[in-house]
Amino acid sequence: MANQSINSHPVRDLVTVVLGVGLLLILAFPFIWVVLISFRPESEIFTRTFQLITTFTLDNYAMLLEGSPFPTYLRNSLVVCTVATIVAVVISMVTAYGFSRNRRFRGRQTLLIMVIATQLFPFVILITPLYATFFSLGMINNPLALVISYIAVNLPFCIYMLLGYLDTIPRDLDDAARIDGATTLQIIFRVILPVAWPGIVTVAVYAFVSAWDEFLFALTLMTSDENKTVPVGLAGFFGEYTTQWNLVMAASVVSTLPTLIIFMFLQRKLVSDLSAGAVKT
Amino acid sequence: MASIELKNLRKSFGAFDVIKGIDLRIEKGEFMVFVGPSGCGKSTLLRLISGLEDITSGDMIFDGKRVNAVAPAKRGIAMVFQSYALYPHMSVYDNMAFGLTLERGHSKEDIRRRVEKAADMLQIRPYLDRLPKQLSGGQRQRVAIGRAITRDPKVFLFDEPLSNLDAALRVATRIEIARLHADMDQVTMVYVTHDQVEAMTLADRICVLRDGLIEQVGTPLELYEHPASLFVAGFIGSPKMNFLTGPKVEAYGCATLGIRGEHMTIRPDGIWEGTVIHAENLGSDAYVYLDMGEAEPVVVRVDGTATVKSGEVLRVSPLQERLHRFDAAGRPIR
Repeated sequence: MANQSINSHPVRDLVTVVLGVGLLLILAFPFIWVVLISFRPESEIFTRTFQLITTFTLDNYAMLLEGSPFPTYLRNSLVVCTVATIVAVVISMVTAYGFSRNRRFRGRQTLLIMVIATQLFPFVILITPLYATFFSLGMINNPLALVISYIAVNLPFCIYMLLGYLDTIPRDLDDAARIDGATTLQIIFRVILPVAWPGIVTVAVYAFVSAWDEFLFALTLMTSDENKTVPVGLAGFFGEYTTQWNLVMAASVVSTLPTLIIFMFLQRKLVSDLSAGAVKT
Repeated sequence: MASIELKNLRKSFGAFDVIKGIDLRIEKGEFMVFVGPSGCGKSTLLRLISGLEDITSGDMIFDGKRVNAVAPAKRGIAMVFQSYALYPHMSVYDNMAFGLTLERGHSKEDIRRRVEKAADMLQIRPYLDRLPKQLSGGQRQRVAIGRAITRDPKVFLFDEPLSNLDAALRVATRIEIARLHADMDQVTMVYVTHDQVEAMTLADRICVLRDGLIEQVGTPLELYEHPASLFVAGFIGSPKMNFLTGPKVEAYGCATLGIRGEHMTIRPDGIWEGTVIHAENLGSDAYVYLDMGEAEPVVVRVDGTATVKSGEVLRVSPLQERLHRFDAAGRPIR
């Protein structure tokens, strides 16, 4: 008993673990299923669903990457989402800093409410005016139209999320930097940004993933095949009469990879920085 | 080295007046301490001097030049904050060098030399490669002071620098700051605190603030011996001055009679009588709290070897020459 903690309840712990694993399986099942099927030959896709792979093949991936326009979709998505994320993070950082550090300017509250009010509109009702605007500007099938739309849609939430984070960073840091001779931009990017890193990573991941998954704007604004993004391209695999399930599965796995890599790469940094902040006094 | 002059200085946040018109001259090389209760405006006044807050009206003059609109970095000041305000992602060296890297015209070698000189002064050279989170509170505050020294300021500002430290460290750092002032006798220092012991031990002159106005400015001893108001009398000195009212003070021709605990003696023929509520023995001295029918207990300092019991009735006498008489408005009668 000496090694056992006083609060240890073996039965309760076991039930918790079993429930947790069960829940994890339910959540992960669709993804595991997609991954398994993506490595099967086309002829075996709907047979022996719950068996482990007997015939392992990379044909689906080869066909996807060499015999379909998917690589173009992937490149389009990467470019649009990366640019939209970087711009959204920079703008939201500067804006949130302004709101966070200037608590007394006239109209602050109204402006903040207006920022959040933009989130009240369902995106569906924005489609028509957005299409009309970009059409009149000759920007249909221009990736820049998608970039602008994603920045506009993501910005309010990014600003709010960063504002909450920046409010927790002591103003003394800004004051110390100002006395050291830093300009406002130097304070934001050389002092506050490194300290706010966990908040910025969170905002960047949110902005990237929501742009990566976006379907409606991409479908409406990018009509030609060479400008399509991954979600729209993926939908193209579902034909009117037949669906290329093998390609759908392989494409689904590939389209998950960027977000997965981002999460894995940034999570380490995120966790280490959060714990560093926790022990700071 | 710079003198600082404040001329009818005012600061308002919206409709709320924080600083209500302050005139003060701080001499070159002087150690001035702003002291007062919470909300008296002492930190705001320091921020006005630093340039971190804009002045609502009045003038701020450094060495005869009006600096109202001059940016903090151009005023030749350095500031130490209560929270240390070290950049958490930078090493101690980078924290100290940051200001110099932003200024043009410093070679890397020059920056290194100045950082190392400051680090040696404060004995923090072994920590130059560490991050602030790897340092103790006292070391962090030394780094913050080091960062300020590196900038070679004409005016050194301290905003309650010892408040986050534990008692032992507070005394050690206080001594360090006093030593720093002696070493840097050309640098004007302005120090904000609510701790009157810090004020008494560090200051060349103390400025007592109350509700955004100066209550009294003077040397620590002037404030202790000749307080200009009941407020200053009660604020300076530890334990605080005893105030007596009612029939006991009629003979002295005043509304309130002030007498410090160290200026009273317990003796059988004492003129006032009181019951012991509590006695605190500090070893060298003991403080006896007496119920003498006043609003607050009267504190008498006695020798640490004296034994006093609660409930005991004692008689005390004040040193006549140490009595402070105040009129009904709280002004001293001299």
